[in-house]
Amino acid sequence: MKSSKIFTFFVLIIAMFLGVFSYLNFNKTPASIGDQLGGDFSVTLEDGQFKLEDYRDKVVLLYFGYASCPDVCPTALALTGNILKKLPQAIAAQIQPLFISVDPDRDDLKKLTLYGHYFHPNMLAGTDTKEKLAKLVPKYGAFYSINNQENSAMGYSVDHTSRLYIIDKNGKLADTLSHADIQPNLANKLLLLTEK
Amino acid sequence: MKSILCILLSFFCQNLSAQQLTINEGYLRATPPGQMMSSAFMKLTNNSDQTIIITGGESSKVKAIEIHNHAMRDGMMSMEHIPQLRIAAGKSITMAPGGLNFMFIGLHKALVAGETFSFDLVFENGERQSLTLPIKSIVN
Repeated sequence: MKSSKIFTFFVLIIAMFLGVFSYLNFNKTPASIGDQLGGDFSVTLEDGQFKLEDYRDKVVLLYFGYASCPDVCPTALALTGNILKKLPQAIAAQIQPLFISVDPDRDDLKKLTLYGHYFHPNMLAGTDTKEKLAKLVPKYGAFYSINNQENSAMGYSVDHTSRLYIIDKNGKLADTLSHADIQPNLANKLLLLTEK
Repeated sequence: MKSILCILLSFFCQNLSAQQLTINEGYLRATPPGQMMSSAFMKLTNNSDQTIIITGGESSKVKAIEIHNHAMRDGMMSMEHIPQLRIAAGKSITMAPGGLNFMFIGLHKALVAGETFSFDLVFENGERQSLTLPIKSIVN
């Protein structure tokens, strides 16, 4: 009798843990845009730190990826850069594009500078320690994970969300654009957040 | 003599079946500075009456050419190596950004827009088909 009570007790404890665990897991899904997402951050560039708080007079376009990404990242960055080049100069001057690599092992800062400039002359590109990235990326509702490609010469790729984060001149996350929405919607969103 | 004829004939026929694969709208992406990775996109059409199986590509100018596909996994863009691309008789497969592509891993030199790149497609039966594609930039 006593042992069955102990058993029931343990079953309840395990059930409780499972409940908490699944709740936490459920909350891992990407959060919708809101006040809880975004905020100030800094990352390391080749020539110093990028601090969001220094860009209060600019709309910052933020993208997380990795430079050896062969398709998705260059597509998103090229679309973004191409759209910025078509905007009137006065509008484009109010916009700061920023690429943050989540692959600091392979992407050094010198390489990242050239990589950013390739897509747009004003595009900054940097990275940081894995510990700092692990805190920064989820702050924006983004996430990534290393995908070991055991049967591929790639070694590993990085699975990641492909979204463009639009941060307004107050440093608040104003909008996010999914990969497919960059081409049709980015220019209009930027016109709303800048002054003519 | 008969067997030699058979071998020659079968070689001819196999070769013919590989040539029955036509490639349209193919291109490789120019590489951003410092990057030795690229992707090729194209439309492959199997004009033969047999399934064509491609296992990848080869060139002395790159470490590996693999078939990769993209998929959304847990909200993230994920890539995976596809060991075999099967194109059914009479069917076409389009390799386009965000989906299937030939991935060029470890290029020995940068791919410059306006130039071309030659490589071999490798089939499951060991045959090859050489291909020359233009290199295009996606940056305006």
